[in-house]
Amino acid sequence: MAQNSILPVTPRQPAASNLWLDAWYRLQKNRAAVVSFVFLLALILFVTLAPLLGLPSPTEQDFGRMNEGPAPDHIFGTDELGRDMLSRIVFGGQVSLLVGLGVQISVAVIGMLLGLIAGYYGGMIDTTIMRVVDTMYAFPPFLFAVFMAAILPPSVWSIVLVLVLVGWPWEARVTRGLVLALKEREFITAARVVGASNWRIMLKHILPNSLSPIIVGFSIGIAGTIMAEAGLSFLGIGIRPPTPSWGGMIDKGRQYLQVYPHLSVFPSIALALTVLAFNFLGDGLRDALDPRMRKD
Amino acid sequence: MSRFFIQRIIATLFSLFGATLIAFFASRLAPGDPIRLMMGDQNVSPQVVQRLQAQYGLDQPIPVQYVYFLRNALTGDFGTSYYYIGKPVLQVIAPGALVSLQWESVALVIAVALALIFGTLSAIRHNTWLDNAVMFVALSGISIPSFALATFLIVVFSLKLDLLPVAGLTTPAHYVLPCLTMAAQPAALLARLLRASMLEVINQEFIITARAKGLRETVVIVRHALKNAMLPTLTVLGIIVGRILAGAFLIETVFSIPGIGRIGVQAVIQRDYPVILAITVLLSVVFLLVTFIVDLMYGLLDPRIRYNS
Repeated sequence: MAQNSILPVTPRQPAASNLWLDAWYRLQKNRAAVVSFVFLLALILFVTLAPLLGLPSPTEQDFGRMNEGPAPDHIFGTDELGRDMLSRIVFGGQVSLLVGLGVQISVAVIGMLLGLIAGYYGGMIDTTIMRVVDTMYAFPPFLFAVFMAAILPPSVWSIVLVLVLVGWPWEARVTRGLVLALKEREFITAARVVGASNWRIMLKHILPNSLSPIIVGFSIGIAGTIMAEAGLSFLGIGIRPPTPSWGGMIDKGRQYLQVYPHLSVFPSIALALTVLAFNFLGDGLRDALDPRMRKD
Repeated sequence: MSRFFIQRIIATLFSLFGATLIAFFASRLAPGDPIRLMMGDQNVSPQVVQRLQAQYGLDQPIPVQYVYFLRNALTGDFGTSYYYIGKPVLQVIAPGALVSLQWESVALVIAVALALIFGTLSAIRHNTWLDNAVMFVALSGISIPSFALATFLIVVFSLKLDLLPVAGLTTPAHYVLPCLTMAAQPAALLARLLRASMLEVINQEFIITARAKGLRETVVIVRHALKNAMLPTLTVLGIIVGRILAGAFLIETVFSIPGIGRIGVQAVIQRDYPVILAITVLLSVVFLLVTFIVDLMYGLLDPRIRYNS
């Protein structure tokens, strides 16, 4: 131990650490995850403050200036109806991020609750819930989304509902698996012995111990949701005009791809970067939170 | 051993039943009366509507309608289209099914080939710049939505360089862009998994033994390491086929391919619910069958799965 001084010392490693602090330090070392995190923070800030930035209206048409390339007053140019592209991308991003966040929060709440109940109580309750989950797995997810979006009335709420329907089975299955592994452990027995109620055990003891994979799933889930929403909007059954959406813009721009590629290319870049960032962040979180990956 | 197979068969049949149940009842949530939709703007008397409802069995309670639907579907009868009035749904879908099968198979083969090459390369050059680059591209590949990737590829290879055609599926050159676009995501997913699985295998003792025997490195990697590493990646093959089946809606729209996905999108626009329902059910059946076959193969190739279940 006297030889310690010749070993390289990582100065930022705290002496006493807990899981979350540890994860934070590990995440900081992952360059792609940090860049993604900063990018997403900036994006969220930009998109939330959009109404204060004095951008042109995303729906105001100017037939004198259609399909223009980037110019000082329209940084990303204008679209086929003379609307400002930057503004449409920003407001389209607002919708995409809200749908992504809203859907994943609902998926997490519903999926975790059902997964907790199924895994904790077992028996008939478990069988029933898991049968429904298995049945949902019979559909390729995006196929089911297209099917439901075609049937439900056209609105943002329908899209949110569709994507929650597609997303919750995965969350429920993952949570159930974690609960099954946890509920036989001594600290759960100990909690039961001192008379904790079932709900207290589920919410206070099991849930916090299964959060890591759920957090990773949350970030990657947002990426998937945004991608699915854009896909539906691209097919004309997601977010409908005049509300701007990235998928819808890419679709509209396809007709002008030969002459005005910027109409499709800019929203494609926005979509790809956002999905990429959520995936890189999720990937970084997985490495940071997975205790098996720790070297010491 | 046979218990494993019987379990899988029962589970698959159950999923099949559940899926048709969900799809059928959901399709009845669709707004608008089917007969009115069928007649379009024509003015029809209530008597005619009633007679047509009886003819299509629409006057029956919905659970009864479901039983009819299931019975007819088993004989390949999915009713008639609302849009192409009187035309059986299967005739609307059939021409597209073959087209989709063709190019989607090519896409699947390309995806697996790319994953095998780059997943292996990444694993044997673990933690080098090559590994990092491949994994960076792979994670990007997972993240770029197919229709956005298609936009970039069309702009570069068709419009700027004028190398490849954009629409249709007539010559081999027409296959390049749609198949590559479709293969990108599955290839990336598979390559990442294969790399992880290779890294686990490559340090095991039988690999050291193989090297100690003096086998050539390529033989060690391909015959001993890769063969064992491929097993865990087999499980995602079902998921990948599912993605390709559903991804066809987007890719066939982008590249104007007259496949089942484009027919589906048209049916959605035309509110042709019987066609939408039939496509959903048929694609789910294909998906379930592939999942079933993958499960069986896994059971055959890995005895641990069979005996533990």
